[in-house]
Amino acid sequence: MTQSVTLADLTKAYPAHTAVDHLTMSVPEGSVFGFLGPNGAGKTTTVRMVLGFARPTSGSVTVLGHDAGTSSDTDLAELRRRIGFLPDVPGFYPWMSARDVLRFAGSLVGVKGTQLARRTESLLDLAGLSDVRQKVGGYSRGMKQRLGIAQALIGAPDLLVLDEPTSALDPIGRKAVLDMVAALRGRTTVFFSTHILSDVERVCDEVAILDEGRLVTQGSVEELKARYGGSSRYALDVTADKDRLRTVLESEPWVGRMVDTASGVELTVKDVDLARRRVPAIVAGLDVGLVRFEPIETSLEDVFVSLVQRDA
Amino acid sequence: MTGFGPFFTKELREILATWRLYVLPVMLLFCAVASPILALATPYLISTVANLPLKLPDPTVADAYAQWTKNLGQMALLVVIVSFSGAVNAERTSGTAAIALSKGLTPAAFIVAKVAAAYVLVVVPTALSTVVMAITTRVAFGEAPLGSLIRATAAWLVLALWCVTVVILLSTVLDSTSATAGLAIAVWLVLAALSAWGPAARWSPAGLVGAPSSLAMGQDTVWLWPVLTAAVTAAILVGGSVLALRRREL
Repeated sequence: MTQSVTLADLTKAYPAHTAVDHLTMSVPEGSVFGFLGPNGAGKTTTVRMVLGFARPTSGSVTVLGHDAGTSSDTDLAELRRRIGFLPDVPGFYPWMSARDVLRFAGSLVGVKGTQLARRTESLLDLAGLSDVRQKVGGYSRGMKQRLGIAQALIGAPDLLVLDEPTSALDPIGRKAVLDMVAALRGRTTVFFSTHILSDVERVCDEVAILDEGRLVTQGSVEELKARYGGSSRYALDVTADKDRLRTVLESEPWVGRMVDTASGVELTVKDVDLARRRVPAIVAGLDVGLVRFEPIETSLEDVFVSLVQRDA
Repeated sequence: MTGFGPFFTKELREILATWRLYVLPVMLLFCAVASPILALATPYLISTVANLPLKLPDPTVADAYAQWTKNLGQMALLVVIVSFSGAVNAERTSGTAAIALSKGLTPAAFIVAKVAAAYVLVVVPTALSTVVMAITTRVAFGEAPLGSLIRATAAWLVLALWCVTVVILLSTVLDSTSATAGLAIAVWLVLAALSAWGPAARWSPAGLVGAPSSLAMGQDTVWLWPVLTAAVTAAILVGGSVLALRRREL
């Protein structure tokens, strides 16, 4: 499979800290790629190196077949014309209208004439800004973010880089942005940097998790759930006496962490086969009814927390 | 220079759409109207305020031109410096530079477009206000010899454009707009101090500090080398700005 972005042993060190530490990963062409990590993990620094805005201390960053770390100004300009970029806080000239922003962005990437006019109107429509007459300076954060995605798409880019596009949006604004990203699947490669797990779970095909500048894991969302979640978390609900059930379970060696729920417990089991044999017997021994004993589906959040959890 | 055209057009549209259209032109037009009137009224004002019995000489066109070059050299130059002190760093901190550069605009095109638009904003109102100055002077004094006025204003214009390139370089290097303005004013003061030293006044842009008033008075003054060195150093300053922007991480 062709890769749109390949990072090889990429490192960015500042005098006080190392933001990106020997990062090696790749973004498959045509995918919606989630670049996940807690705040300060090095996501934005990586994005800046992908765009050639920051120079790597060592290693290489290959974007659409070009080395973004060492290209000349002209080569970098040509490469950037093939990339759409939305920074975490998009900056617009407040005196411009949304239409002005798109025309300006389009003219910079070399789109002209009727093609520019057509794309401008179509992207204004996609961003829900066609009928907005006010200047960008009066826009809400959500409107700016939608305009940010529209300006990133004006050049019909081969790669779309979105840095925390939903982090400051309300649920409606977030849904609008995620819908726009989902609509791009298969049309362009999307490199989606975020710390919001549910967004990644909703729109991304493949995920890389970054922590303290290092790659923790990479794979499809389903692969990661299977690899790191397994089916070790179970919900156990009984008809009565859940406190006694908890006391009994605490003495069982195959029981890990337990969390109380309304009618039972949520438990992590260390030995699934043993749990399946022992739970019915324990419940029967307590002379209560078994309502539910089933695995809890692992979310990306479970995987993320288990991989990047640090000592408090 | 990829992206120069669209970015330069944006800069010109920004001048027309924002406060930048008004500040410097209004200041220059004010100087053009006020300088001859002030020159005309000065003897009367001095004798009235100081309550002196002596009769001061009648004001002349040379007094009006001297007042004009003094206003340009102080107030107008200060406005030039302040107007452009956020030219690059304000775009960097607001995130607009990152978006423009992410679209394939090269650092060279970014800086040259900034400098070119700034030059337009200085040259056009200076030319217009020089015409207004000539008209006001003729109305006030009955004559307005154009040669000395144009030469004096042109010398100031070269100095102002040189200052613009200094401000653009500082705005690229420094993050703060006020620090940029402060340092640019310091450079201007150093230049003014150097202009009192003969060799610097003869062979460097420092000579442009005193040249406008000398030319306005019709006196001979060395202007060729100050103009040439200003042009060469301005080109170097623009190159330095491009280099500084290229090296800065956004």
